[in-house]
Amino acid sequence: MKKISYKDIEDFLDGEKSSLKKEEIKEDKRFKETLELFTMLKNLPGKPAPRNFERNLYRRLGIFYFPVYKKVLSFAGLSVFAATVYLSARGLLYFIIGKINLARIPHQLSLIYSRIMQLISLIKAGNHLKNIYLAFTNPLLLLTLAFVSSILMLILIGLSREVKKRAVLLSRF
Amino acid sequence: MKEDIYWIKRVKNGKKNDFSPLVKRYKDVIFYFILRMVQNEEDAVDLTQESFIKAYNNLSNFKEKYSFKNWLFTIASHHTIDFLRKRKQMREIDLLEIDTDEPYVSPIDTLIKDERMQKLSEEIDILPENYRMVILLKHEESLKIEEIAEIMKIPPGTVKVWLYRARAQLRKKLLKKDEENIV
Repeated sequence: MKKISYKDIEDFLDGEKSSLKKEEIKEDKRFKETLELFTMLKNLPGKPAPRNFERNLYRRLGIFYFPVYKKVLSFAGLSVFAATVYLSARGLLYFIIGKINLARIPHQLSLIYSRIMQLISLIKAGNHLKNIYLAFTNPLLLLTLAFVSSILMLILIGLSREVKKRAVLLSRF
Repeated sequence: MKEDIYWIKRVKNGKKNDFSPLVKRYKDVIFYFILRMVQNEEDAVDLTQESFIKAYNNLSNFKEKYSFKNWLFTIASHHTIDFLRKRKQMREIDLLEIDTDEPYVSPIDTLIKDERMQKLSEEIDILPENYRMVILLKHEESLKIEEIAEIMKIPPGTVKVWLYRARAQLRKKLLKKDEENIV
């Protein structure tokens, strides 16, 4: 039986071209030793990169980094928010539907219309008041107004006196 | 392999963030390889990061017919060799000033419970750098002789010789340890 060297066995285990057959060498002491060494080398425990490795690397590379736990938290947060919005909207819809009565719809509509008209009136009144305020803040307009109103007042007083005289005259007849 | 090419194409097309799946896939193997080579965790982290940065910056030079893993190992091994050379020079200067040096305890060794495995791990750490590199690439990463030769830019015959010598050294130390235990 030919002597088998470690090199032949290693070549065989490395998958290199070899004339050796496993049946022939499996009981060989050298083969067992080499196989054990190969197994031990293969099974050496690894060590992962530190936890902040990726974050620091992406910072150095200028890449946007969004870790998995942040993705999960964001997704969970958005889900909670979406669920709250959905449930609130659904509750509000059911509440409104519960309040609506078909027989009262025309009345409700007319009520809404009257409220809108009130609102428009208020806006108009506000606008009018604003115009009056602006008129009083303009001295020329104020003087004109005072002048016109005093003449009008005089006319009115005169007219009322005339009416009283006529009334007396008429009462004599 | 195909998945790597897919991500690489995306990065080349300007989607920078798609480099992260590649980092996720290879960071642990590259880190472990460098850690075993330099035997210092801080240096290993720095060198791993620098290897990835180099890979990212030179991604346009990567040819898609090759394996990305092997390409990454080529960058990491060359970067590590450069670092070890510089450190060796620095230590030689330091040795002129300081006579004693603290015995180094590998962080990996603390993880190893089994005595024989621990012995083997220690022996790997004291192997010459070139022997250690071929052992790690061959047994940890299960690369072929030709792939190791390509990564280390040496002839396949040299890889075989270094592997044979490294294994012989390890086997010898393990047998010695076993004999000591029997006695």
